[in-house]
Amino acid sequence: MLHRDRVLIVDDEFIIAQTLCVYVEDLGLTVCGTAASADEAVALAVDQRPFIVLMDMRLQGDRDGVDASQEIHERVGSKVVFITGSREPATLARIEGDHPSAVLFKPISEGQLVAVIRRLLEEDPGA
Amino acid sequence: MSPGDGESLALTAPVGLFEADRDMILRLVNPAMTAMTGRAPSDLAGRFFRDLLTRSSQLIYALKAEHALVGAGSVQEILLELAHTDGRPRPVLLTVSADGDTRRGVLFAAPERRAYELELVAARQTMLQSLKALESANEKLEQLVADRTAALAQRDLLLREVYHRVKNNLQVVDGLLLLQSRKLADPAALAAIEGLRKRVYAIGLVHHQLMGSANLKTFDVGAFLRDLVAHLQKGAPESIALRIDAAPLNVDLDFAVPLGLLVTELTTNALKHAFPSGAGEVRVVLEAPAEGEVVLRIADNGVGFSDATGTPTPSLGLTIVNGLVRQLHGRIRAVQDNGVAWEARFPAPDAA
Repeated sequence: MLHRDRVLIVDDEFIIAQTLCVYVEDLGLTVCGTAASADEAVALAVDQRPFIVLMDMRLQGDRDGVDASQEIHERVGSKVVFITGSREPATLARIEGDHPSAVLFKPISEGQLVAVIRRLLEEDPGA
Repeated sequence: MSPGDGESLALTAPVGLFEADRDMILRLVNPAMTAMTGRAPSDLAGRFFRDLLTRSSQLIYALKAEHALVGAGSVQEILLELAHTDGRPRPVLLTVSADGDTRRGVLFAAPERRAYELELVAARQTMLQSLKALESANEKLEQLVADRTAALAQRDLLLREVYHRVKNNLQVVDGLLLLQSRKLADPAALAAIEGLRKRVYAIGLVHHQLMGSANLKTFDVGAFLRDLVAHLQKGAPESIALRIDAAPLNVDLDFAVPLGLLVTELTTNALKHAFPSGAGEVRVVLEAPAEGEVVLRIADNGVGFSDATGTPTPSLGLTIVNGLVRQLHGRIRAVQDNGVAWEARFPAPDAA
């Protein structure tokens, strides 16, 4: 059972995480936590059970966004929106292999993020 | 000719002639054979031919001649050395033909041929050594090329990383502006920060294009401007249309950043002032009409300048525009004609 109004933000850049918080709160949703590493992200996801996770690819520690997302997928089932600054084919292939709900390329505008979150909420009304 | 002539020919021939059996035991020899071997005919008859040779030639004879002689009974031009009794070897060419069980042989003195052969062997040795040296040098070169290629690849990786980090940092700057603006209520302050965010975005977009560039140095300005205008459109009311028409042109960072800021400046200016009714169109055009020249046009179909003389109102934006045009060594003018049309001309960037 996931909380539709909760969003988990995973980014090792504090300022970026804060701006994402602003966008999410503008939508009337709640930021249930911010995490800077894969371990933190998984722990918060398991604890808070958010419907959506905004996942930056680069994180503190050895594991990246895909690693965190795989574990969250197994243990929680949240929809993961990947955020990446890289257009490297290797990175994109890695992301694609992890059933992403969406991929956003930095720099992200409020409009882009809102569109993606709205779509995910509409696609799955009874989460 | 009579049979006797053949005998005198053999007696006086300047080549060694002999007759042997199928085992190459000599039976008959001519006088030249004596000269070549230092042995009298009685000392030659009954000997194996190979006994006349030096040790090393006996080996050559065994390798090259013996098999053929036993088989077909003939050999052609085998270079050997006779062991003359005076101690000095005599280089000769041996040719033997078969006549039933009889072997008829010729020994042709070949000192020139021997000298030539020695020269060839020496030349071959030198060549082999040179070849080895070349191979070794080549290996070193290939290693050098491999090292350089690896170093270049490493450098490219680092450069991409730098562009990525700059882009990231610009995102942080944008984030700080956003967070600050959320604490302000004054519309002028909010507008000012929005303007700043757009300019920062334009710079970030240049680095985004650089990251995707093959040579990490130049990219197509057309693609860049289309992305930029699309972003500006998102921040504009739906009733105002932004159109972009850009020719393909390779540019570098030094050209793209000022150009991006110029387009941002003039477009947002039009969005702010040209359409009090809230509807209209802004067209951005970039052309490379002649070799070495770039023309940028930004035109709106709005209300024109507020000043009656048709000159733009002084502002920070205008100062920036003039300064950037100067930085690009260009000229800019504004014409009022059913709206405002800015036209800037620059020398084309040297990037290609």
